[in-house]
Amino acid sequence: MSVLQEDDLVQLEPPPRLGAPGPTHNRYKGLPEEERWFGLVPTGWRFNLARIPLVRRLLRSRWTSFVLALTGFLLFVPALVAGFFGTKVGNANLIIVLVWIFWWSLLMMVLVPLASRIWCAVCPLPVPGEWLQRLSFVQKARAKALGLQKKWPKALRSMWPVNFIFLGLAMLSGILTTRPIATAIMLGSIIVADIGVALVFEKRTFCRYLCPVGGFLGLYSNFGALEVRHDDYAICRGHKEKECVVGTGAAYACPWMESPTTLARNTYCGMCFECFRTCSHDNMALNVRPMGSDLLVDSHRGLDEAWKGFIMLGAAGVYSATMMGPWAFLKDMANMRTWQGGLLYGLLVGFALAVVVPAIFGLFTLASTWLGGAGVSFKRAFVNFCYPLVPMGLFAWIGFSFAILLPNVSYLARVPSDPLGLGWNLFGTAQLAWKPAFLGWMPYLQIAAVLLGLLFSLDSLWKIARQTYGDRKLAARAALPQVLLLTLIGAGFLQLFVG
Amino acid sequence: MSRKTAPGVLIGLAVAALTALLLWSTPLLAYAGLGGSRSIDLTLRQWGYEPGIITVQQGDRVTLHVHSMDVTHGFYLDAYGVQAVVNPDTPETVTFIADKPGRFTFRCNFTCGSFHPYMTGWLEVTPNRTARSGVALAFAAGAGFFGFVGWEALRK
Repeated sequence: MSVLQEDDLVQLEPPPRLGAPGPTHNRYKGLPEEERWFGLVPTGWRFNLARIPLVRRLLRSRWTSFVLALTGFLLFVPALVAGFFGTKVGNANLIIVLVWIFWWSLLMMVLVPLASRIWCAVCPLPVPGEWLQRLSFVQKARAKALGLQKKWPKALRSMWPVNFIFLGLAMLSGILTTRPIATAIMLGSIIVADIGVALVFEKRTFCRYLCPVGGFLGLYSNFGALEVRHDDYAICRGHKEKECVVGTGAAYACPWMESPTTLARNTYCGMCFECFRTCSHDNMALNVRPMGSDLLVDSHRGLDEAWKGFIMLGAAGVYSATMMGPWAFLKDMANMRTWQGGLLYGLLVGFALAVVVPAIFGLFTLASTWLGGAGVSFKRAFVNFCYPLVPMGLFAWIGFSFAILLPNVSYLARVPSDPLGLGWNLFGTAQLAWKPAFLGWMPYLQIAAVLLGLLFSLDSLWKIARQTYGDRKLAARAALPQVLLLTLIGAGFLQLFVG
Repeated sequence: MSRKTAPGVLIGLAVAALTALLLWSTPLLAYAGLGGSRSIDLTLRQWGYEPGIITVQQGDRVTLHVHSMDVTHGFYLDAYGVQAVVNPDTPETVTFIADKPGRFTFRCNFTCGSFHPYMTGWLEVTPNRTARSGVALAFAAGAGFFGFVGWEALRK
């Protein structure tokens, strides 16, 4: 298998020079173009990585996606086998160590904040479905796609289905994260469901509308520091063929059913880089940008994303209390020591995440609309003010992930030698003693994470408040209750982590 | 920073500094533990500790009498690094000087079943400057921002 071939690449125009200015239109409605994060970094700052020839070449090659997906898939298959046939002891089984210690920490601490939704480019779960649907591994198949290619029902085109699926899984978190068979069944079910959906519906319908991970990845990647966008807006505006939307003979239309020419937020961009291959003008950009950028995009915001934010923020608190706290009765309930306890825990978690957190937020937003005046409806304030919760939520998860990763890091070296827990010693590391890493640093790392999240939240709040209210004074009044809420949330997480 | 935002930013920074100063200088943050001896019974079972939270003063010599009610468990105290493996019917004694203030997690470090990674408890060593500093900074940030947007709200 050759890695890169000239045939894989669309003939390219000479690349623009490094550091050339990108699109010139203002991305952030209601905010001045000279707006800066923390008064320092311009919100419109971008650096297009695709202007580096090697990066550009890789992004345009069909082999890049194939190699990434295949790598993810080959790592995942042994884990799935371990989950079904290996030891029942979680921390001795590859699937628990790989998924809940390595992958989760990597996702929350590195991939989402720095590279937004890049995980979706590597994710092994939709790989069988996509290969089957396309009847091809690498090149675009000449044959018609397999399956019915139906469109997803309009009524379900939102994050609500994912919210309910995630909530259901959140209620079972104690079991899912400790029992190899439970994790294997969950991930195996996702693969089977994805294949089923791929054979009935078009493109990446499952990833976009049903993947339980995709929902929070979508919301939190609006904060992430990487984006796929058009480069020169004028070129897209004047280009009537819209190859990125309809596809070409050599490359597929956007598998995520987005329009890359007008893409303004990361929510539903799976970073598959297909648009780099379809665009005959070579006008796609892979931008490094300031963190938090898409939180300021005043379009496509909605209650479905608001609830996703509440669920994630609440889950960070509930999991921290249950899994890292000293309360044995909570652990007993989450672990379903009795079925009544397990049921009660599930119901309480569901109620807390879906009702209590939004209700508290609603009360503070009521105060905001009262202080801000009648010009902005409660619903608009409710939806817009939920986006500053995103940095707080993400960094709370980072704080939680420190508590997962640092004590358990030695399993990452030990388990690959004996992935099924059957007494093997493939790499000579199976007998390594349990050894935590940097636990003395953990409180400081967690404090830093929460404070950073709080600062990003406060700064985005001030910007979103001005966007929402227009008038600076009204915006300030409306922001006051939200400042108080965010501060209380930050203090609450600090109390939970190190208090 | 524009002339329009400068007063607000300065007010915000001043409020943040005052808040931090107030919280740092409060007697609650300033007092020091006298030190002493503490002897505590700690029961281990799948998958929790009883008591789940142990509170001692900074400088205390702490002796934990650790015994397991069911299977073999471990005891590992973060940051202090003290540890023990505790077999059922064979109590162990763990002794250490609580010289680091703050809250520390103790956890099972001997695989004891499905929920093993989450078998945790807390040791609180007062005065807890670490946490209070974090909370003080969080409130300082919030108060500073409150001052900033408050000024924006009230100015003509």
